Amino acid sequence: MPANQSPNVGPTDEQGLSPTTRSIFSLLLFVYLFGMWVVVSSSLGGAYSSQLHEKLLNLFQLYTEPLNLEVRASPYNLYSGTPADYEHFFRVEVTNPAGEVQTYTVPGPELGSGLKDPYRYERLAKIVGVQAEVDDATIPAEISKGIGQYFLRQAGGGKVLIECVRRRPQPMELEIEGQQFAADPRDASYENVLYRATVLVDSEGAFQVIKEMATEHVAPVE
Amino acid sequence: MVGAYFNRLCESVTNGWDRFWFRPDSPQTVSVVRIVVGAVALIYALSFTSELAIWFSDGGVLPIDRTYRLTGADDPSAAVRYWSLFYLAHTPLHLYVLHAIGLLSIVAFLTGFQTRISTIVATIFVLSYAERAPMLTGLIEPLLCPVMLYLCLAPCGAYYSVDAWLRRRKGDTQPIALSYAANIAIRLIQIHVSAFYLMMGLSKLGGMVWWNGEAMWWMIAQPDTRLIDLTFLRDKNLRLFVFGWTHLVVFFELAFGLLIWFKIWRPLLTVLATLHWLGLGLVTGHWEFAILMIGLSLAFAPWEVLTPATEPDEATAKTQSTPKPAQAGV
Repeated sequence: MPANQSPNVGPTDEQGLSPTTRSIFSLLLFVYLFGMWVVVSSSLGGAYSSQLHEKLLNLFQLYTEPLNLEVRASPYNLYSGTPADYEHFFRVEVTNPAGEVQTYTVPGPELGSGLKDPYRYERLAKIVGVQAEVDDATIPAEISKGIGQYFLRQAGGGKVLIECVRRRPQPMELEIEGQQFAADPRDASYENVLYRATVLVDSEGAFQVIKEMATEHVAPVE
Repeated sequence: MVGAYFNRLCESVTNGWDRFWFRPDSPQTVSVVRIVVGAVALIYALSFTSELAIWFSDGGVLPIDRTYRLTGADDPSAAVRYWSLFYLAHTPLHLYVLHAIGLLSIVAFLTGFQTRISTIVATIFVLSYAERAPMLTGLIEPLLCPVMLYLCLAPCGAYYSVDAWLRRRKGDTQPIALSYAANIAIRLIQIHVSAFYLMMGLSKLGGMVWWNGEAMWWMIAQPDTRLIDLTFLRDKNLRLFVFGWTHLVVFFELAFGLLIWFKIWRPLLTVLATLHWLGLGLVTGHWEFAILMIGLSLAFAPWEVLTPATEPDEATAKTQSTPKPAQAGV
């Protein structure tokens, strides 16, 4: 444990700070700390911010974005109770050129098995799920294409069906008002497919994404 | 009367501000924080190793053009300010060469070798990992990056470092100077950590599950993210523990952000923070963030309150009994 004063600590490295230097440092510190608090206090998202807060946030993004100080995209409340906090993953069905079908889960041993990769693929799956729910076709297609490309290369062609699945957490009571919940937390009854698309290589060799469904076509699993 | 009050208020605030920011301090604490932050930065950078090319090379999951489209950077009218050294690498070879340089710089930073330079280079690389694909950002990046930036200001290799060892080996017995920069860096880290605790506590109050006590259960019940299965806590006799745990998480985060500024609380809060983050790390799977938060409690050292109180000796007692000059305390 460090102590305040080391026995071999000597004189200061500067000959004291002049009042002008202190004033300049103070101004910089004040501006920086104000910006930091504006950013840090924005963690709950736009719905919890005033217009003034949003304007200040945009102003301070000049340095908070390149220095990666922003917290809004990170789940610091850990769990808010909304479906976006549930576990999300991709289910990938690969049909190789010979017609054989293999199913993988991402993150899983085939993709996303690195130290923090499961978390990163889950983040991507959440983005796909949430965007599919608000009817955005572009972002889910971009991400699905990226994952589909990987599996198509591994299989040497064919086609890939990608599903973005949301898994509700198991309730504390496994029987609520006569409704029985599965004892296995990974049971299919907890799953809800939010997005489904096929990725394939077209006749010109380009990767194509064909959206088959988004969340509005699926009855939610209760 | 009002004018006199505001004069005294201004004087008090100015003196307090000066004492807080502008006094020289030993670089020992920043040196300890360097080791903690270096270890977490190394874990963070290593976590990209196995699938770096799958993630970021051309034809990978998130090549540069796709990252631009996802962040909106492909729209010239959008003000997107993300940057990364990894934007320069398109092939697996280039990515792994940059990755190797990044890992070496972080190891140099961790061990305190050429610390002034390695701290800056390691910070640039950690920022580059974080900014390469901002949509993958988790809990760790928004805290790791600023803390590394603050360490760039300070002589954080003065103690417990290869640099210090080499200095001693060369026979340099000069005492290490107190540093204004070390004090400013450690103050910035303290404020950032304390603000994070308050933010985490306050943001939880925005969700009903943290009020009704169920939040910890819903995290325990997520089978893929948790590191430990605590679902036995659903037992009717143990449920109160889950609800109590939920309330304690919120209470502790708010309390830490405030009480850590009182020196007498610091050792106790550090022990409690270790337990707090150990529990949350195991339940949420954010174990590297838990390590960082536990380690950053050390930024609030020195813990002189742990030093046993001693009886004032005769000389001290004599000094204390001597009348102070008239201007003392001005």
